[in-house]
Amino acid sequence: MAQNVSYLGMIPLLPLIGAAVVGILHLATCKKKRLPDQLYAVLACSTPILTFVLAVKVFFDLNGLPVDGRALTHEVFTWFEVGEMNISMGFLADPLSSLMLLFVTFTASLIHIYSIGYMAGDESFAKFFAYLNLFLGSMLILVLGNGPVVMFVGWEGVGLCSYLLISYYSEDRSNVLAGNKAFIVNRIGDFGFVLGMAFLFWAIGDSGFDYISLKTNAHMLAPATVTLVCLLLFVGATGKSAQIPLYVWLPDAMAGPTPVSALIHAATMVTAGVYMVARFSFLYVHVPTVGLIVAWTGILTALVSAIYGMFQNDIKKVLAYSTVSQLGYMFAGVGLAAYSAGIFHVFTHAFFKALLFLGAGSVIYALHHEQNIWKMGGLKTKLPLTYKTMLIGSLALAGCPPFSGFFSKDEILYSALASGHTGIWVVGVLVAGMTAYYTFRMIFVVFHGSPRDAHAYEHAHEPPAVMTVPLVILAIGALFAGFLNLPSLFGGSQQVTHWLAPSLAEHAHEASHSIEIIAIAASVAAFAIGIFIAYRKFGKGAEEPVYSGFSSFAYHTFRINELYDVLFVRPYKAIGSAIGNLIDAHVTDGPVQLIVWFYRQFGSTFKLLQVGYVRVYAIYMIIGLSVMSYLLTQSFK
Amino acid sequence: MPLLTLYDQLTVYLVIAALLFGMGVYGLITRRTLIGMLIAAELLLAGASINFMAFNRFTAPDPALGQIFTLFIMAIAAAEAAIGLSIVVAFYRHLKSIETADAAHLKG
Amino acid sequence: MNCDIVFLLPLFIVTIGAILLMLLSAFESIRLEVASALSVGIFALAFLVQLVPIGLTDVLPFVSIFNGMLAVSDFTRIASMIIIACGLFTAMSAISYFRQNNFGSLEFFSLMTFAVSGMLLLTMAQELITVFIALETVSLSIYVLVGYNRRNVLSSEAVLKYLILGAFAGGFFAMGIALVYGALGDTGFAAIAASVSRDGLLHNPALAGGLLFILFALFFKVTVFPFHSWVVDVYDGAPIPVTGFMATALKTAIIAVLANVLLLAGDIRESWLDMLFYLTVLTLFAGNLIAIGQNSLKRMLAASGIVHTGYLLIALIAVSGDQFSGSVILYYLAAYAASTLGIFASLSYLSGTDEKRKEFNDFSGLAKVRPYSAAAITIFLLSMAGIPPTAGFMGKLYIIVTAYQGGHVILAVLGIVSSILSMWYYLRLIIAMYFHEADDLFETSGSRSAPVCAFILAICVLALSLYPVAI
Repeated sequence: MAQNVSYLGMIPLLPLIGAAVVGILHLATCKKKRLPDQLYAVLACSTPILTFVLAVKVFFDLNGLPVDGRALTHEVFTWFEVGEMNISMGFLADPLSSLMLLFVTFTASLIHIYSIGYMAGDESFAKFFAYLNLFLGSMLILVLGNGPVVMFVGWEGVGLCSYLLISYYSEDRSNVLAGNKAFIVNRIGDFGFVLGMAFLFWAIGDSGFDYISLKTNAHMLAPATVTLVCLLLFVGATGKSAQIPLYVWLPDAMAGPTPVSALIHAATMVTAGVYMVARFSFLYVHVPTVGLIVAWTGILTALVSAIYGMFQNDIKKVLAYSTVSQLGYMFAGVGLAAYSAGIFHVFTHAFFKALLFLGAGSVIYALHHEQNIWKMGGLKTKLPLTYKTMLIGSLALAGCPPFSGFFSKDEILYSALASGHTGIWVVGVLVAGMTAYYTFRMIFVVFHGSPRDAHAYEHAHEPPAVMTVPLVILAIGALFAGFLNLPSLFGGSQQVTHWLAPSLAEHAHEASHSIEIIAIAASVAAFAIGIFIAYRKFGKGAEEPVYSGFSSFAYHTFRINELYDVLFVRPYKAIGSAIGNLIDAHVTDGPVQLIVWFYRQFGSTFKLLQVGYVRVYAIYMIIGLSVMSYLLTQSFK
Repeated sequence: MPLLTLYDQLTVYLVIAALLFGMGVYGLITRRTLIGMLIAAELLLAGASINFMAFNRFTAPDPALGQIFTLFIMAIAAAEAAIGLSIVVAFYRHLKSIETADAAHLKG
Repeated sequence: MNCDIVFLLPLFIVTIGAILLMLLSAFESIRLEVASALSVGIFALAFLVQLVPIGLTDVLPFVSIFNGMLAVSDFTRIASMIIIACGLFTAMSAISYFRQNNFGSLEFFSLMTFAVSGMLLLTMAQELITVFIALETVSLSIYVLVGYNRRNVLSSEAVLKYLILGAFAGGFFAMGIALVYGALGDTGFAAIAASVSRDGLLHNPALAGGLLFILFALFFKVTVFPFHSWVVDVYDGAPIPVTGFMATALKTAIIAVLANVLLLAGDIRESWLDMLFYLTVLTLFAGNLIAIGQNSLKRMLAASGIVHTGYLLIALIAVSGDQFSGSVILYYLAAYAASTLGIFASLSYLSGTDEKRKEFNDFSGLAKVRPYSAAAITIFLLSMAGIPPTAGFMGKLYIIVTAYQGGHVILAVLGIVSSILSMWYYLRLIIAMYFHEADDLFETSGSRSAPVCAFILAICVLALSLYPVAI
């Protein structure tokens, strides 16, 4: 039984109101006298904090309900109703969405606060916060939506905000291009999502199109339909969550301000694909083949992007590829029907990856927007707090016990081993070693050794408290979040898994403790080896290496961008510039111009019929009437 | 003598009305001047009025409806003619012509 | 019985208001703003009264006096509300327009109010003679409004074309009624529907021919291909507020009549479906093709109005006859009216003195000089093109889904295709406004009322998309 609570509607509404208020104030005053930035900061930061409070309330309300009745709903209004099609704008809080809700609002609050320091003095401070609030509102709609359609509204909303914020520094043309790339690549994914949704609707949409009715009616679906729907939805997920082959936009998305990278492109939005697969677990669980495709796509993405990550020079690019890699782990988890493990990794990842990005933001801030790690070095003494917190984040990312990343990653790898997918497990362990390597390569190069740029080093200083406090809080999260789902091996009771159980259709893989110990031992060994190699190469200071051969190939991310350019972008441009030539008449190609020309010619031919003589118009009418009469007399026979 | 009873046959009136109506349509297409076209439009209405009166006289159960409508048509025709003529005057002031062929600035 | 007066009150208010305004026009000392405010007040009052719900079934007010010639229901009520709102916003934006175009006079508002009263009558009419008289009331007022600028030869030319062709269609309409009257001895919609459902349409050739003429005249008024040719020239020559008024209020009223004739009193579409299908397809594409070639905004909007008529025809074909509430049609009309009126309200002040800005190129770089106006226009254009999250998108979605569910898959697909084609000319203006450099200062002199109109309508466009069920 779902309980109706009206405050659920407030959760997405609050940030949207915040966005509207900040946006309108900004628009109304930007030309005249600027309002103080503090006002905007207070307005914008209050909404995520309020939503966090509400999220906690949701959690406790759910906790008070019996286990199989943990669902709160609120229907705001019937959105549209045509014939049998009835879509309502409504929200659903169940254990799954409440968990998402908790960490989304929590990290969002901290990142909002952090941004006050990071964005201080920016020209359009208020605009940034309006976008950020808008993003949060859309993200909450995505998470709380009671059905695929509402989720899609949020899905598109976060996509829009992501686009706006990537091209936030729009003076630089490459940033705008990065935004466009993200937008276009995501459209490809969305196409899959929409198609999947449409098929699902045609199949069983008549008797309700919210998760609860879909779950009840899922058994009526033909197996082929389920396969098709799941595949198409996964295409949507690869777009938003940056998986092979659509991951290319995420590294470029680092062009946005660093808090944006932390919030949108690490902690929250990019995990939406994982969330969606978990949401539709009642479908995915019936098609293990599709699950296997998901899992392999995920683990291969993890491998490929870990390789890229080992050779990047830009601190944010390193983190970006590590995000793609970790997202790959999550998909491996949900693909193998270990939904709670995947979601738990989403949860811990939000803490340590947001922490790492914010830490990187502090470094960048301290060095006046220097992002190349080979121009840093020895910052340990200058930025002690940042160093310590980032170290915690790195240990969590690299999977060092007992940091949070260890538990969640290990659970995914363990389920791969336990379900008999040894191949996935081996790749996973390999990636774990690589992760440790590139994470500590970054730490050693940035914080250890001697400064490579003396001038910048001299001027570096710890950022203000408004930026460091969120770092500390997130570091505590990154340190302890793993204990929430302590496996029984360590005397825990897997609380998160049990909490999520009512929302997910999970196969628990029972396996002996010995297999679990093997999995853990392998992970820890991989971590140790990775860190050891990193220390040997970079621990005592190293100069920027000259990439050649494979490493150069990897540095250029296997030239995937160039490949896509030749394979897709150029042919697409040839077709797509029919619209483009309106904007820029010089990029069109022959066939396109031909189509445009035909279209125009049609138009101007038709224009000729509009001769302007009233008698001719009367003749048209008579002809039309005659044809109508003829059709009528024909039907007499 | 059927010729003498022609006046008492519905078909006769319908044919006359159809002729008037046809002349109206023909005139609207062929007339070159505005006044000519307005007259043609009046012929259309005249045809309709005759039809109404004829049906009223020969077939309709309600004796008043057709007559009332004919009166309405007359009033509306008069109003239309008034507006039409005022436009013709305005048009003539601009172009010193009432040929419709001159009214083709708006086209394409 | 006492309620009947409430149902007809909006009509009475508007008609009395029109007469009052006409009398006031005799006083030279009254300023244009006063007349405008008065007509806005009349419309607002009528709108408020119209808010009283009626119910889905027809109510025949004062049946002993009117003999069933009028019927009111929620369908007519909401259609009337759209029309009254169109009148209200037109009266508001006209003031800004007349500040910059020096030919306004008090009779303008009176004539417009008369037109609205005729349209209200049209929505309620249940009988052909009433339709004819209401239609002529509307047409005669609008003839004068189109030719309001007597000093401008284009304006005279526009009204001339409209009048001649309108009289032509009016003649056919009268003839059609005569034939129906001859066939049935009655002119009520109910009698027509009863006869058609009893014997079929083709049983009685006079009835079939009469209905053909009547449909022809109505199609002429809503610019169905091939009776559309006048609309581009007439919209071009008419003053901007009048164009906006014609494009929205008149179309709403005539579509309401078409729905009344074809559906409400009884479903008589059966025999016409083939013909309606071809007309719809041709209308959709003819409108798009004409619009592509235009350089003038008013002409483009006129042509795009033809496309919107095509969508409304899809809805008329596809909605199910039993338990007809017309919500699909009404929602589309409301969405279309809000967007179109919004554009014309914006043009009313942006076009400048003597409508000097009327082409796409004249609005290049508007976003850089007047960002809010450009944003509002963008919202209206997106709504007309059917891009979410606007009312126009929901309207098109409703219609396409209805067509799909009604089994008219081809129409649904063509509707989508036409919507894609239409992006061309809507986006063209957006691109001109946002991506080209401004070589104009877009100075406007005049009151704030048209900008306020545009603002309200932009909000309406967005709000309607969120609460479509409200209609």
